[in-house]
Amino acid sequence: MLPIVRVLYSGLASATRSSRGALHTASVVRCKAEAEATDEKSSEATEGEGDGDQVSSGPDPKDRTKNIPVETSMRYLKSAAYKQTYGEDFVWTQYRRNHKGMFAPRKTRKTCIRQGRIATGNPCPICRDEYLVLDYRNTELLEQFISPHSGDVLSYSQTGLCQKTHFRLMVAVQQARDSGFLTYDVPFREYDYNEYYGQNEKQKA
Amino acid sequence: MHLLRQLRQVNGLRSLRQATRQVATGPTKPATLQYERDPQPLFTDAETQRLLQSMTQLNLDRVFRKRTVPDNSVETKFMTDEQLDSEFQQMVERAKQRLQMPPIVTIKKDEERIIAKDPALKDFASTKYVFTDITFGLRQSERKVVVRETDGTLAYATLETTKRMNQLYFPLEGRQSYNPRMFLLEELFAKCLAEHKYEFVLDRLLVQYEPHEPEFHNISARVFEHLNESKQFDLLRSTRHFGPMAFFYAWHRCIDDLLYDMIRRDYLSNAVELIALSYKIHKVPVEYLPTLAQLDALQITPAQRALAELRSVFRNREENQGIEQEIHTAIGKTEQDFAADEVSLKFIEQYIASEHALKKVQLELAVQTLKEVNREKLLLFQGLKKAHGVQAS
Amino acid sequence: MARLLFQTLSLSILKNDKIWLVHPTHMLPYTSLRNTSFFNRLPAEDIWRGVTAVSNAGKKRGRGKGSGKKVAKDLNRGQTIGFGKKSCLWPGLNSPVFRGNELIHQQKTVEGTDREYGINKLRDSMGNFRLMKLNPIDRGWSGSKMPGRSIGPPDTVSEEEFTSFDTRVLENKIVFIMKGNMGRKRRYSVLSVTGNGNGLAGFATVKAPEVRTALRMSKNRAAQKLINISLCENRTIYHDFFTAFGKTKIYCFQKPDGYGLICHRAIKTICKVIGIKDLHAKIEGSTNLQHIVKAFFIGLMRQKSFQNIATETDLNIVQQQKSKIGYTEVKGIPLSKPAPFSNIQVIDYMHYTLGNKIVLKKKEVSPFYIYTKGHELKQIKNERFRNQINVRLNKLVKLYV
Repeated sequence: MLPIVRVLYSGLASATRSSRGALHTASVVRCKAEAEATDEKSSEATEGEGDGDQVSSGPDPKDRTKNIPVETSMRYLKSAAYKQTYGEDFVWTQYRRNHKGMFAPRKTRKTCIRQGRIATGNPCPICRDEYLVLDYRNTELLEQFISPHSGDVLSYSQTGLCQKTHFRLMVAVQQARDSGFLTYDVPFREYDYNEYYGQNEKQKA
Repeated sequence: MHLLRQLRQVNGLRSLRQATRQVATGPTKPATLQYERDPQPLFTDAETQRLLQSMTQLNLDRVFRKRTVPDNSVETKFMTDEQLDSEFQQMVERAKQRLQMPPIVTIKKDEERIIAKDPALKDFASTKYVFTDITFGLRQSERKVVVRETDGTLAYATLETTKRMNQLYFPLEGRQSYNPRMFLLEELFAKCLAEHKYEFVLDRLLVQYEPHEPEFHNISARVFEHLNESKQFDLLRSTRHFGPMAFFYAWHRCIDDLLYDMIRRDYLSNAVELIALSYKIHKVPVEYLPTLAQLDALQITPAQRALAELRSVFRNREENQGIEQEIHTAIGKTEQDFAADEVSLKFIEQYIASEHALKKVQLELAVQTLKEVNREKLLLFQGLKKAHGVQAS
Repeated sequence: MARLLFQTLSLSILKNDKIWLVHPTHMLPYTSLRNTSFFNRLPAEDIWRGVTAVSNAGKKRGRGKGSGKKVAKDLNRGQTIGFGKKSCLWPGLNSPVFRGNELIHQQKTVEGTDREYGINKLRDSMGNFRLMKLNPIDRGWSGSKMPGRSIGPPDTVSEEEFTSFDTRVLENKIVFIMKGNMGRKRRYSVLSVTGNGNGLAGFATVKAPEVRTALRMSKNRAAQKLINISLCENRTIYHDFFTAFGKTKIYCFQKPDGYGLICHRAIKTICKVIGIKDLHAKIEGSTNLQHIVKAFFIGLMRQKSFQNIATETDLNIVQQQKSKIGYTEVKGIPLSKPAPFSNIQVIDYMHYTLGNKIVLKKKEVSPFYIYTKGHELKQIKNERFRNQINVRLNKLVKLYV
């Protein structure tokens, strides 16, 4: 494997490590359980984690000023590190909102990131993992937020996304549809043949 | 500092906007094949329509495939046999309606039609004025849109302006006021084609553009050309785009790949129809009408077949015609089908032998394989009939 | 000041003298000594109770519960005979008597401080018992209470494992009965439901003096009372139905794919365990948990297949899906051909399946404020911004490279 790629992998692994604080216990337990599995990729990932131990004390896990390119995110979604963290689930399935009382407030929080830092203890599923980049090219991520039945973007009450991220998601999905990255069911258009061929062709058409 | 950042952002946006503008002006690669004369009379011809419809076929599962809808609820009902039968008929009608082919017309050219020139009105305003007739119930083409230019000329609006005003006052669902990026950027369009999203592209094309627009012709031609190379014709079968596609190939004398696909999938009557269509378009002096008549006598139309398939639920109750039916379903063919196959094979071979076929070797091979398979099926069919003691009718 | 110092000094001398008398290691004991105290007279259990217990009155007030509760430590844990503060080699106790032909003598070995440190650490960890942090997904209905939580698959029976099963607690409460000699006898009652998520499920109520035993027993008993429930398309019920037990009345509705479980939390939990994914249920009347469970299971068991309904009514059953543009799917066909003339009165399917019951649909009451002046003003103010979010969205959509 190329050294550049290796560095990248270790970076990814350390990122998931640092964001794990925000993740829930079950996934961590599963991570550890899966880390034991000795397939080729995961061994690379754990190797990366070993490197990450020294690094983790350095950078701030709550810092979100670094701009991560979409290509990295798309590669991350296919990587073993991603699989360790989320398994087969969607990014948002294991997320639960924190709120007082029986019912959650109707709207989610306005934003998780203020002044380039995570400003909350329970950031939303996209904000907590900085390697999930919302972009119209990142179809694999966008598809997780689209209902297979209605074709709409799932509500934030279901996914738990903060308002800002949800809006960014809406934009990204619209862009992806506009540029043909995501397909959708186009409304049926019925033609009135008379409009194009005139009245006299009616019988033939 | 903040000001500086804002300035930078503004600059970034401006460059972005410039980029988009560049994109908007750069059209996709033009298609190599275009309709050089008006295809309309040939397309609207009743016989052509019948041939195209027959080629499209009617697979109810595909026409009524699952789609995304805001409310995906299910309604359960009690029905008597009569109600159920009429429901089936309505369903086939609805399917036919869904398969309505988009019209094929020539590209409309913009022409300047000036109503009046009033130099006195020159510079009365710094902008143009667009007047739109928003009477309810008018067709898009009948709606009058006129423009008063700044120099005082009153003229009919260009096609583009007309379309825009129509979309503004009577929006068509799914149409954007701007050109979708998918159709503008060559790499995005190529990506869609490479991923075989043909139906999606064509569906979107119908909604976005009018059939007489050059973009419509260009994009649909590009899709059909790509399809002819990738040979994924089955993706469009039982959709409204199959007819125009076959018509396009027949018009541009490149039916061989589609023909090969049809033979390989054992749609022989469709193959005959395709050949007949190309003969008809290019006025080749070959008598195809008798063969078509023969086939018509032996086979039913796709709509009738779909209806019969639906009605087979009633038949299960009356189990009197068991064995014969079972043999038919096991083999997948009836005696009439075998007869029809023979007729159509003769016609296809005649075509392959003629100078019109371009990929002779490939087609011949396909025909040979099919013949062998058919012979085996026929033997099995007869054997089964004999074994069950069913009278050969 | 000096006097005070002298006094303490003399006192310490005196004390030393006494000790000298009490612990003569090389002298025979002449004085009669009673080496007893509560410390070596009582068993460890009683001594610990003295430290950790709460008085009866306190217990009644609910003291000694929760996170600050003191817990008895087992001081014997981590200790082994033969290893103590002084690390010594004791032949025959912690070492063999002979090594080869050589006799081993009692001798000191190298000091090891980590042994004591380890024991102390172990004791420290024993005292403050903390609840393990629960994954939000596995939380029950409310707080740290049991109802709604999973207690794992039923125990294995002669190497037969039930790994595909999952058990969930529905009710966990204290019940009392009066006994002739004991008075109020307290027991824990647990209602739990177990199922494999594929149409096999059972439920049971069990009472036991301990919570843990009650949970285990109810789990295993539920597994002994499995009921087979056929699922429609592997995700929902076959048809809408009405079911009742006691004063509990439940209306259940079949729902399309992706609808989810919109019902009482107990029904939701049962559905998850059975494998039902889409359902709407409305309870009328009593919401007694035991009755809900029973009524729901009865309803599930009483479902009829499409074919059965068709034969009963002599009518075809069709389903029209909106997601398939009204594609009509025939679900059931009567065995005999119905009468040729259509003199049969076609009944409404929902009425038939609900047993001619009609769900009480309350009129939606609009909130009190909508008739107020302030609300009207607010609406007028907000009107101009009503499409702002969409405009912003569309603007941003077009701005991309």
